[in-house]
Amino acid sequence: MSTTPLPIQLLAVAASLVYLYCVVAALRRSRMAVRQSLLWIVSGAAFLVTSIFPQPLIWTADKFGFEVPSNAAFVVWLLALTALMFYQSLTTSRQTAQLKTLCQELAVLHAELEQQANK
Amino acid sequence: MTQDTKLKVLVVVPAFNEAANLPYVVAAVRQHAPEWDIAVVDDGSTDGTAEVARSLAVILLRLPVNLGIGGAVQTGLIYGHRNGYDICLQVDGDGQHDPAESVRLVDKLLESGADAVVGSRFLTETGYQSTFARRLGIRILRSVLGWLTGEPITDPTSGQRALGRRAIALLAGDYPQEYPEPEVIYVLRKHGLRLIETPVKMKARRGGQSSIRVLHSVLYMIKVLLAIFIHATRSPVKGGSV
Repeated sequence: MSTTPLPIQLLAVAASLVYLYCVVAALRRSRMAVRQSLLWIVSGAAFLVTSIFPQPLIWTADKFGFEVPSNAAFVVWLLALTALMFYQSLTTSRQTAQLKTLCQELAVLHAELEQQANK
Repeated sequence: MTQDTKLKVLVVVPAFNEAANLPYVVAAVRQHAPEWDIAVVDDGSTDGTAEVARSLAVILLRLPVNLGIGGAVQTGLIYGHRNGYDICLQVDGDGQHDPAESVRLVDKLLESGADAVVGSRFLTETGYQSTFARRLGIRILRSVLGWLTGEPITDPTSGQRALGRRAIALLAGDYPQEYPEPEVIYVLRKHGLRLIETPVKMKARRGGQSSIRVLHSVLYMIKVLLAIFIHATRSPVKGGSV
């Protein structure tokens, strides 16, 4: 079992605090929907907790046979980011379909309005 | 000419920056079938296509942003479906489709009782036959679609089509977006609709060909095949085979 050097730990704590601050600031200024924010708050909180108490991460890395705990952290982050990108891709696709329907409805409605005006 | 005068036919003209060609296309349709309604779908054009369409006194379906050919044609079908048209015809705004041929498509649709008629350039070797790379791609699509649907198709990328009520209802609700022509064939047949082909002549679109087009054709093939295979894994849409 290794221990995390203090400077790295302080850096991680500071980074997670900035991360959480950004999320809260965006939420307060209504720039992010609450629905979308949960993921960011939870991941930010997890980041902060892991920075202050790295023992669970070190233990996990040890049990799964990672050479160093940071590798375990990288793997977890990579998986989380991939999942996030996948989710965003689903959202974008859904919104593209919704936008398409909106545009089409607008075009049809406009044509019907013009026809009524010409009657 | 169509025998039944009460038959409601809508010509859907998808147009993206076709202000120059539109008067010719509309005049040609009116010359061959004056009783048909014409809906020009302005797919977010920036060259005054909408103004030209207005001056031609057609039904103008103006999309606020560019949706691409699939979204544009679907808009015309939604309009046709809601306004009770019996037949929707696609005539491209670039003048590649000869409206005289469209009249024959409608006749074919009526006499055969099919749900959709596709104008094929390859049933008889006449008119514009497309480039080598495209012809090769078309061969592959033919094989794949023929194999998947169990029925032959000679010109899967032809956009010259006539659709009956069942096909209009189905496609107004669910129209393939990115690579629509071959996918539409698959979707129609998958929902048990009858699709047949009839020979047509097509003109070449003005403009040159560069070598980059070959790469585009290859990418197009990969994407359209992917789209068709994805469709093959889906279950039919609810109420699809009305």
